[in-house]
Amino acid sequence: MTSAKRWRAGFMLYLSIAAISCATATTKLRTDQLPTAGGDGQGYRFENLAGGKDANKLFVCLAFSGGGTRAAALAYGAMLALRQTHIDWPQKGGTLLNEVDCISSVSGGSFPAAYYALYHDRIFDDFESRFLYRNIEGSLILEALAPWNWPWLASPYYSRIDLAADFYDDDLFDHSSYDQLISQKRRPFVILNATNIGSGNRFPFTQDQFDLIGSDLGPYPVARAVAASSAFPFLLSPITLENYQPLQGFPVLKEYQTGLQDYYNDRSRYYWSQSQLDYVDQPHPYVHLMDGGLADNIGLRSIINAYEQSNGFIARNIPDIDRLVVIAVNARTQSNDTISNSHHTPHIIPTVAMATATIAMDNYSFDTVDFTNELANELKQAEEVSAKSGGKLKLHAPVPYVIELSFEAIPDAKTRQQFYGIGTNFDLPADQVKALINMGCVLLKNDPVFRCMLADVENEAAGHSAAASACDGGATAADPVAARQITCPDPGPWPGNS
Amino acid sequence: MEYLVVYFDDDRGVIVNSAPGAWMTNQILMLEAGTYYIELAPPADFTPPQIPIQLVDTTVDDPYPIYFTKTAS
Repeated sequence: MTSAKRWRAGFMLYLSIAAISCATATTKLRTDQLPTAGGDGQGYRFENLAGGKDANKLFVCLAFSGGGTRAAALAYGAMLALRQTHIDWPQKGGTLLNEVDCISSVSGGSFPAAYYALYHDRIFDDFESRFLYRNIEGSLILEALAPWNWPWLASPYYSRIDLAADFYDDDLFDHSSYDQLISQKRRPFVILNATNIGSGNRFPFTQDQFDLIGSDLGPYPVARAVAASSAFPFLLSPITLENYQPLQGFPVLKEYQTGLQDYYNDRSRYYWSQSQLDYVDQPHPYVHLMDGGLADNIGLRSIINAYEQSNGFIARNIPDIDRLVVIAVNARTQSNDTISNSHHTPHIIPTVAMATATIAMDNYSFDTVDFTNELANELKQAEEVSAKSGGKLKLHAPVPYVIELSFEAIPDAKTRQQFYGIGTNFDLPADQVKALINMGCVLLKNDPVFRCMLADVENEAAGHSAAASACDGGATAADPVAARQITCPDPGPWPGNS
Repeated sequence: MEYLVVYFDDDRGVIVNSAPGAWMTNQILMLEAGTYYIELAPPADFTPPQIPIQLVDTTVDDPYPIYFTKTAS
């Protein structure tokens, strides 16, 4: 082969690779897939998963925060506890894990969230070996160094995040797409959250959101959504989606149209509506997504929106919900401030870059948890006022339980600091992973709101639904049978006395 | 949150901003502050067909009332 022919062959190979990798995994919505004016339609939406009035009586949502393997292990530990929490209400003999209706997650928390949504109880057979105890970072570096991946990485259309997404697709999520989640027709409804770095807004992987970019979420690989949700700034590049808007015949939700009239009534509603309508009214051809923690590092925002907005899947079902349980597993860091010990200006990379990426995440975390607690108090007050009004008008406000699991609840200060000091990367020592799994379980088992919620559920199952909530008056004394039956896994030797 | 009561002769589903839900007439409904278009679930035996409201400054003791009247279907 002549030199010119070799060059031509090489160039054609490069073009082929570029062409293949340029083809994004999204597909344009067909006419018959266009949502109805009410937002109903086909695809990955809460209302398309099985459930009904009874399934809504005890409505449980989980929020898994970001924080690498540490967040994933803590969330997994909490799920272990939920799996052992046997309850007789609303159905007899179920577990609280089976009652979970939604999971909203960001970054590291998206791995157990997506895995559970796809494989359910199988997560307890192989998630530890396939993910938690694995050196994910090392595997990604090996992939990047493999010579057969160099031509891909040289392409402008394939980058480190694509490599990560393909690795998750091959090694963890077995090439599963959202179509598989839809076909299961069962809850939980999982919301993997990324951040649109163009607008700065949260971007949940749901069909409601994909409607706004005229795209069908069904064939989209779950692994790519997880990769977008965990694309940490500076280390990984964004995941890119195409925006097919404007789409002929696309009905814009009235919720967003009316939201634009609410600048003076409710600023958050106004700005959220504006940001959503921008996908349709001023469409940019692409959406670039990074770590969901940039917009909300707890994952609670999607749950708050589902509760507050009239088209939200919680708001629409509120009259059927008797007890609303929100469990936020917050693996927030609290590392020691070492920057302030030196008069030298911190280096841009990595010190300033890392601080820029994480400070906002942690500050916003407090904000979302506080806001969720405020909503819970509001519900509680509404229920109390309604009860005192003599029953002139019925108000069905669910009894709210907001549970936040964080290392702050570890009683021993030294142990607490050691947990706070665990890295947020995707390669932790096995003894730390083991300790985190145990801690997720222990924190939930001992949480006072969790315990009083279980006591209330047990009272209701026993026919004492009119009794005062066990959460009234501090809730520390509740000793439900279900909590006593939880056996948390061996914590292992870490942190020991070191 | 804000509070709203949709009065009607029958107990009927309430549709908020074209989105159906588990909301019912003659009960206190909770919604975030804002602008809404309220209608009832079928059959279309009510008037007016739709009521626009600005839901602000309500309390659970003093919810915003709106009224639909039954007509011959």
